[in-house]
Amino acid sequence: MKYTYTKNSIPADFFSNGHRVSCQVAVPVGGLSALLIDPLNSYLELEDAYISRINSPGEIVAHYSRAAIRKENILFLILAKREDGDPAGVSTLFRPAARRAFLTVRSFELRGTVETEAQTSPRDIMIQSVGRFIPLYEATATAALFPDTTFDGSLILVNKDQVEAFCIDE
Amino acid sequence: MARILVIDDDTQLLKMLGMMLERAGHDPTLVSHGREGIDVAIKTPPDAAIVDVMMPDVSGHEVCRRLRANPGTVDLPILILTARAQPVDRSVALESGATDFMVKPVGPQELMAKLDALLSDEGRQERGQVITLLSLRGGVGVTTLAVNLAGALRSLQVPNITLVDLASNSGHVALQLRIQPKRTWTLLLDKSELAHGAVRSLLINHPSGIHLIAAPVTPTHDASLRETQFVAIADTLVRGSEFVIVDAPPVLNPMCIGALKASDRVLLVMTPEIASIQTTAATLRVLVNLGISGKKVHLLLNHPHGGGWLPKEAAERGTNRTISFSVPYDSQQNRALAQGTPLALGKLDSPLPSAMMSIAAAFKKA
Repeated sequence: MKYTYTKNSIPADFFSNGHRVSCQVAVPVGGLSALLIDPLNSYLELEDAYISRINSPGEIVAHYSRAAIRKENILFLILAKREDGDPAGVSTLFRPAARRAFLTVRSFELRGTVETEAQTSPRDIMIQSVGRFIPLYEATATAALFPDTTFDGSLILVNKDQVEAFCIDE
Repeated sequence: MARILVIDDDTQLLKMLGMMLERAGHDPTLVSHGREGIDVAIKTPPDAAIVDVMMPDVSGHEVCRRLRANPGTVDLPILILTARAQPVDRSVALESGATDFMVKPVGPQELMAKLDALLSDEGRQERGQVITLLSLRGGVGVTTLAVNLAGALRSLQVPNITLVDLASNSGHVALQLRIQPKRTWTLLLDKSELAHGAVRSLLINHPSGIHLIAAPVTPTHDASLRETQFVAIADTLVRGSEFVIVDAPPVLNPMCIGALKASDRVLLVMTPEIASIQTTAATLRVLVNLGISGKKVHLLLNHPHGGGWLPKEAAERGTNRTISFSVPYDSQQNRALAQGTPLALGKLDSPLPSAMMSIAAAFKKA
């Protein structure tokens, strides 16, 4: 599938079960979400990938100029800017409610805000939301085995297939 | 004008940083590889360096480590400028020896302000004072006095004060400041060499402006830094602080001896009761045997609860020394402890903070 790419690459932090991959991703006009939602590509192409182990996530253990990551094995990814994930931003017609959310994926706890219609249950969000990833805004990820280790971002995209528990406030 | 070395593999950003620095009146040297940057810095040490982390040949962390290992660049101010923006990235950068840390993208004003601060810190280079508070008899109020001495110095507008809690059997300095420490000096126990970034990464900032190196909250079995390790820690801290206040443990373990040797002054704390007087007299003899100059040891007579005390003269007779400072009982101390707000950081007119302000003023003047 061909995309119209902007000249911008965006920085992103990908987390798998054992590793953190800090890299650049060349994104089309639809932002990173457009790449993640594409059902015809199981992989994301990464540039300038720096790899760290989860038990020592600040130390770089490897670097490669090109890499690919299998979408289904991503636990979540962190973006510094919300618009890097979804340049369209928030609809002016649909005014979602911001609700505090807590999710667990393998070896991580995630806290942040989901934007949904009021009264929507966690199950409904999982089933009805479009695409493989749930956006969690102003979010923090905590490594369950190393709770002093946290990762923050304006937007964390969480792989629905990796979610174990999903809790939200009314 | 300062000579600034910039090491970043992003050549566009490198050019932009070069222009920013030139516009601010500095003399930039631009290098796009970590290895080359190390060579340039060692050959012609700049006044400061701005270093990226994610570089293909040698990471910014490695650049910091190698520059810190070289005598010519051991004190070079290094600003890490990286897109890796997580708290852990900051910790690792400081541990590897960086002086400060900024996240990309960064604006010119923000960058220049940070650089100016780094350069002025470098220019200051004055050594502060290390003051250790010690009693080999527990329960005489050493921690309360250490915290309130730091608080009193802060109330006297001293800008950079670092408190170090060396208790290995559950430290209470953090409790008195209502801090839940996530990093303690135990993280340094197995380090053979102490980069000053590793020491600085332990600093916890209290809202008052006091910096803390905390002790483990859970009692540890026989945990002690080596004597030389603590001397190195004190040497690092004293370069960035006007005062380093050490709350020493009530035991002469290696880190306590290190603290005593690194100190400009030792406040030997005692209470006016027989056991404390006896322990203090014995401690004075031990300090002489350790080579601690008597000139830097001052006796501080504390009254941690009301009534039933021997007179000051009895303490002076028992120790054969003049009491330099006396701190009266303060009924408000228990409430301050429960609230996590040291008296010397708030209500200054009660007995304990008044006394501590006098002591702090004397040290500040010296």
